[in-house]
Amino acid sequence: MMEAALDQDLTPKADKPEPTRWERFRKVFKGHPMAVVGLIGISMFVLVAILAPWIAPQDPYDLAKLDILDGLLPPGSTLFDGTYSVLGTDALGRDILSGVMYGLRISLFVAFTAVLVGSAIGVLLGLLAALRGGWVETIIMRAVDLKISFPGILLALMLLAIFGTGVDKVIYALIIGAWASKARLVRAVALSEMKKEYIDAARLAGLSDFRIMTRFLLPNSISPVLVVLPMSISGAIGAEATLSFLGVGVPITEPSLGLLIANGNDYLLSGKWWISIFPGLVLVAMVLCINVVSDRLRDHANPYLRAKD
Amino acid sequence: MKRTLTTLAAVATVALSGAAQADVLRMAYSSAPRSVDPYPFGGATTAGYKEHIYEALVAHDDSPLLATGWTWNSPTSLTVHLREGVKFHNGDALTARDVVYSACRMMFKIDGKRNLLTSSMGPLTDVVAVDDYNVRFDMANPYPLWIQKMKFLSVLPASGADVPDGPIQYDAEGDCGITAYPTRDDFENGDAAIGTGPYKHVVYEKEFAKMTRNDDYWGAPAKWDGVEISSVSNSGARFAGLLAGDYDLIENPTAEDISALDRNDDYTFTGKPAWRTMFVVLDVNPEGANGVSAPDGSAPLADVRVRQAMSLAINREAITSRLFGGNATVANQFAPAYRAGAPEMPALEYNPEKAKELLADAGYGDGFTLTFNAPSDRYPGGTRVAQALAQYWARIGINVELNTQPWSVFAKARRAGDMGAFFYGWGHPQGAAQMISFAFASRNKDLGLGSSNYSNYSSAAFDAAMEAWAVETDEAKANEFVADAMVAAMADLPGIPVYYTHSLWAHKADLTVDGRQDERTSAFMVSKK
Amino acid sequence: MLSFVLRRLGQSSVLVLIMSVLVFFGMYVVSDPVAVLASDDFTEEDRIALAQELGVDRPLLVQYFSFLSNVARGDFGTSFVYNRPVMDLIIERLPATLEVAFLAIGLGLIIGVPMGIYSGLNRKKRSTKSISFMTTVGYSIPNFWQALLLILVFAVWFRWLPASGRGDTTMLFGIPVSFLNLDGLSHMILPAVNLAIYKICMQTRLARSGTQEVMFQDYMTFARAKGISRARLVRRHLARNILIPIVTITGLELGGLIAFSTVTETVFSWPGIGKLLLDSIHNADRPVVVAYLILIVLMFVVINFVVDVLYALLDPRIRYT
Repeated sequence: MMEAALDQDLTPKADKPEPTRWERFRKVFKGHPMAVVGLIGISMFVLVAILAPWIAPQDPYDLAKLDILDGLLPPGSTLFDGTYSVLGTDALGRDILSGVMYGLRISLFVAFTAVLVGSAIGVLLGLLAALRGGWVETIIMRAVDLKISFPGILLALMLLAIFGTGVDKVIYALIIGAWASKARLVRAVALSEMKKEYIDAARLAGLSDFRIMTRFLLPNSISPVLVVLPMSISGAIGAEATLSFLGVGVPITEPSLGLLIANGNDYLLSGKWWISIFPGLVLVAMVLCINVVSDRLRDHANPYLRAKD
Repeated sequence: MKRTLTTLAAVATVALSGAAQADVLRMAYSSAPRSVDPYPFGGATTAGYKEHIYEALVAHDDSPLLATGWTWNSPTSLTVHLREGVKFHNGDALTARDVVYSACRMMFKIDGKRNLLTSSMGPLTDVVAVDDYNVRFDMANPYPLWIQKMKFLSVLPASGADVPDGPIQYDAEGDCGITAYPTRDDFENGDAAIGTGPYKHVVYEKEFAKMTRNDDYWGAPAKWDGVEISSVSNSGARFAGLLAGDYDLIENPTAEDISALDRNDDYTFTGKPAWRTMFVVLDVNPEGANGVSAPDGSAPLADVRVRQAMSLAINREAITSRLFGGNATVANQFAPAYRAGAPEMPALEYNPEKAKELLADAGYGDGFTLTFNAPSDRYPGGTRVAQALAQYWARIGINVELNTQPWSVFAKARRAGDMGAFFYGWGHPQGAAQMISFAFASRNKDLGLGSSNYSNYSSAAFDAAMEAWAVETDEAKANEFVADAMVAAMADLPGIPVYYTHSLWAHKADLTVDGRQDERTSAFMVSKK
Repeated sequence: MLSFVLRRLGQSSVLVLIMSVLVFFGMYVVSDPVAVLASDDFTEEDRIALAQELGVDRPLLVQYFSFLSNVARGDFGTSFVYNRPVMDLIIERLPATLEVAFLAIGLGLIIGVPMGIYSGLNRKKRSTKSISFMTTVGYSIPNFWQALLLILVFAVWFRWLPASGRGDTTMLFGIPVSFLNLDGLSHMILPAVNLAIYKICMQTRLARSGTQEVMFQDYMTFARAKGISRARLVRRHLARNILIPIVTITGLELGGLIAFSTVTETVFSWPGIGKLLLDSIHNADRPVVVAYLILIVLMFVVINFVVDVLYALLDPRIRYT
């Protein structure tokens, strides 16, 4: 994903051998320790999220395993079933460390799914608009205008207020928030791509629209989307947290990071800082890592800056 | 203005304390009073606000207020004797005519909209001024609850409207021959906001209201020169405002806020057991209940052993001590045990082993599936309690799925009967029988029974007791009927009582708060140490 | 230009229509105002009477079309909960939201733009690196969490600023505003700062990348070669050129800011329209929610339009034909 993002210039230079993906990848991050830290951070978070069911001390979603008598224990306590709670527990006896691991899972799952599906839809519609033109383009681009003229968080809030809460509903709401900007971006790139001669050549050679789209337009138009993708993901993580905080997000029995923070908010003033501080730190750290990497990718993709690299 | 000065000092980082003038009480409510007009709206904050300005015939604790007493002429007719020497804020003396006028105003549809308190009037047919200080209320059928209903009748001066001279003829439309009532705007700009209460209206701007002492008050003089009520719905913001010195007292701090005060010498809190029972409603319909299913297709909640098991599984003590820090009372019946008229009942047992046995006896040893519904934004700590209940039931082998929804969604689903098991709270402003008479009685329109029987509970013994209670004007006998009904309901458990809420106030340490059961916050309960 | 405006209006009315249908029908399916408003001791007749008075006993389509025809006459209906005209409620609260939003934008521009230009001109400096890192951190902190930390630090620990509410207001042209007296202003600071932190980061980045792009342009190289002083260069050439994206995005983000104020207003109990919206969603107060949406969309139309015009004024290459 990251590598592909750098394919700004796909026409190989004849005078030097094409760098391998790994080489190009390294070039982006070389000399940028912050970005490297961010990259490592992201990998760690993703790994923890994937492995959560195996490495978490407790299954925070199994109600029978939680006991309110274990509630609000400070970091370093032992629970009734002998589990050691490094980061303490929340009001319901949920181990914070386990909660954070599972919460990370939900937050990442929601954000990744929503952004990937949303972007895929956006890319497809953008290409379609560029390729077909005419009324197809008009309809798609008007829809994009409509969507973009309205703040995403408000739209999501409305949709969730109407359709109810739940992980699936949050994902739908975020998908609806994610597609439009990608469609606009891809259409712009694809249009400029279509002015190039090789597309004419392909058309003359009798290639179908579908072939042109998948073989030429898609690979060449997708790079800018990939560059903004991390930003979209961190945005989606934040949006999900905000929705959960406002009480229209994920269900309370399966808290995401945002909901864990919201739960702990009530306790922040009473000195039980661990409940919302740890999930909050993890959320901020994860978003930060993604944004640092995203910045790097964008700077790299920006030709003005690359000239000086 | 003092508040501005305070800010000046604060901005200059001088630690000038937030204390306002020595004798203005600044309170923060949890939601904004809806109007100064005493009639269109109910709700604890609106009621709490307006009782500073207006008074009713009967006080919140059932004692006479603007009345000095009453006499039942017959089971359908009651004469109320008015207090003499009471003056409205505009100087008018209170007479029976004002009470009739107020009853008319209460029934009147403002902008064609009936006000939400009108249903409180029950089978009232006539209000008559017998003489200056006696008012007779006539009812269509025996209605002992009328004593309670008189709490809603805030008394306004008849001079506030265009009333023809002579006696006012009451009618249920509130027409009463009155050509023009004061409008809502008249109330909100203060022109019509005239009562007999210890405080006079100064300003009302929804989230902020101000009142000043009524120096001509008929009773004990008000303790504060002025009262300011701000409304801050976010509990974190409300508590932070208290700690930041914006308010002297806030209502409904959370259990967490309270524990934050442990180490704080400047602030403390006061709790008072309130009249609300928090309980679980179970649909006992033998045809089955929504969201409840067993492998064999039977209806688990229809079996009383299952309901008993669900009650035995709950550690109520842990809920009140852990989730509320002791600021809730373990329930042993459907009305708060300390509410006047509530019967003596034994404590409810916590015994998960016995619960499992009962489940096995009932044929659900391998459990069953239960969707448990709870509103997400209605009750303080409510979602946590709902999760704790789900934990307890999960531990005796029931496969519980917890479903929390915003109140607006939850209320509709409850109304539609879509929920087989849900968490609910019911206040008892009208006495110990209030909840069970609505929630567990078979539907009886004439007596006003059973309109919220979502348990689909039907018991001959219970219904007989409730029907006898509904028409009994003798208090002692009425209480016996309540006790009979309560015993029947606790044996059958069409619902499971969990705890009684406490009203809480966090405030400056130099204040004393004498809280009330009715969940309202008023300046009357607050005094300086 | 005219056709451009007309097209915009057309698009927006489609959006308004779609949203109103969605919200109207969605809220009808999900929540029942009668169930919310009725107290526990309501009888069946009371409920029916209440439904009639709210007008929700009629078939949904009838309700919708009567709503549409009322809106056409400028009547957005009456709030179920407050029993007052929705427009009054919204107009009453709009100034509170707008003044915080403008203060936040002002802070963002005053702090962000100079910081961004500085970073753009001094790419290799350590201070630039830290500014850049700080903006990334500022971007990454969830708004609600940041709000809580602000309250914790400035209202509870230091007691410098009030934590919630709006405080005193002063009448300005008949509109109550907070920024003209100290008490009101002190109440405004935390909510405004909470919104502004994101703005500052955004403006810094915009100004930085703008500066960098402009500095690589040939005319800048040429100007530098001519020996024009750095200060003059920044003032005359740079500032004007980076202003275009900043104006555009600031304008476009005004709407987002107002939308996002739901979070800030909730945490700080600021009595603006964002809080009204959230309360109304929870209370199933459909007239308020629908009217709010329509107004927000209209506001966006106006904002976008103004931005486009400004854009055209700043950059004479752009023409609307």
